[in-house]
Amino acid sequence: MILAELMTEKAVLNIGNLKVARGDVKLVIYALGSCVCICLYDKTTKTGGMAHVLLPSSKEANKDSVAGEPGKYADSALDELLLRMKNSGADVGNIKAKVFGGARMFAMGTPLLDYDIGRMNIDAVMTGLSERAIPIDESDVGGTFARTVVFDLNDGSVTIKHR
Amino acid sequence: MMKLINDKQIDPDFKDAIKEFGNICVGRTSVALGKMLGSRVYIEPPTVRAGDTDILAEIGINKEKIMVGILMSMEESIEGAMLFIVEKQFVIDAARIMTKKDIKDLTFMEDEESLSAIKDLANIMAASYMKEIGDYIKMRIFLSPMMVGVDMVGALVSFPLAYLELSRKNVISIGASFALVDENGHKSEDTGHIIVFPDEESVTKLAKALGI
Repeated sequence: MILAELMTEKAVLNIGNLKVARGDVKLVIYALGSCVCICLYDKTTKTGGMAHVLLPSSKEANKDSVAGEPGKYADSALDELLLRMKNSGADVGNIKAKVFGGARMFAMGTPLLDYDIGRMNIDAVMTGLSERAIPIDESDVGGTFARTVVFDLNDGSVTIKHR
Repeated sequence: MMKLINDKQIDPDFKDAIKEFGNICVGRTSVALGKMLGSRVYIEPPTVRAGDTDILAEIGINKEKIMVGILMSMEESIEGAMLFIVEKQFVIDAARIMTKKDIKDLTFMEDEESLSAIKDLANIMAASYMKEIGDYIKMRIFLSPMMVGVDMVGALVSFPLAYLELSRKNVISIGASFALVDENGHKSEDTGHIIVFPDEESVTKLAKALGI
């Protein structure tokens, strides 16, 4: 393993987690299913943020739950990511987004739901980004398979792994 | 009164009670599986853990491990979801015994006959469990038809949380180790788990029924 790899800090995000960092950091989500991963990046300051979103909207959620875990919902995750990135010195006008996940897990058998929670998460994130005028420069969403996402804040690149 | 499940800690009496009926359920399931497969099925005493969305770390399973997930919702007395996570090879071996086909990998899921075999297997496991649980706590529990997925186990476990929008505090895992021996003496082991996602009210109901 090369030295640079050893020196890179790695932060793993579980469901509902959200993190903003800068430089030699890799933000990782393992086994993303119907959840959606939002990656925001300002390349001029190498500041990036990632959220592991479980649900599309915080509107009907308990306020304490939203305040405690803004990363859990698409709308609150976007607001909190942007706020923290701004506070970390990112130029909001330079931020671009990458979006991953929203798969339809359990594709075989009888669906428990008449709606697709993965698709709802994708739509909520895409709409939220559009409303906040953040351009999307990469996405890999939907499908029926899980993904592991590694976001390298050194250059804003993302590596995806699936089965 | 201490919360029955609090910050990954489970009330000791509640844990013992779940372990006890878990033991009975696993016993019943092994008998049913053995009958269906015409094979010897061995079991080990179950382990019980409580956790949140990171329950897999508690159990010690790598989130990226490819496993088979069988998901059903529970209705009537206990509400929530129940997810069986089973070793892929165990399911392949069981399906091979049932269909008499040479099943090698995940492609078997595209074959109707094999998928039907998997559903039968899951039905036996789920029905045995629910029958025992229902008898033990003297409550009726209905299971919905199942959904099946083969993928990274972390993604399989997160789905019921989104589907049910449940509190993360109520995740109970009952470890169930089965070993299957076919007619040629080939042994296939499963270190699978039954992960139960009961809603808040159901945890209280379950505890009450167990005398806690």
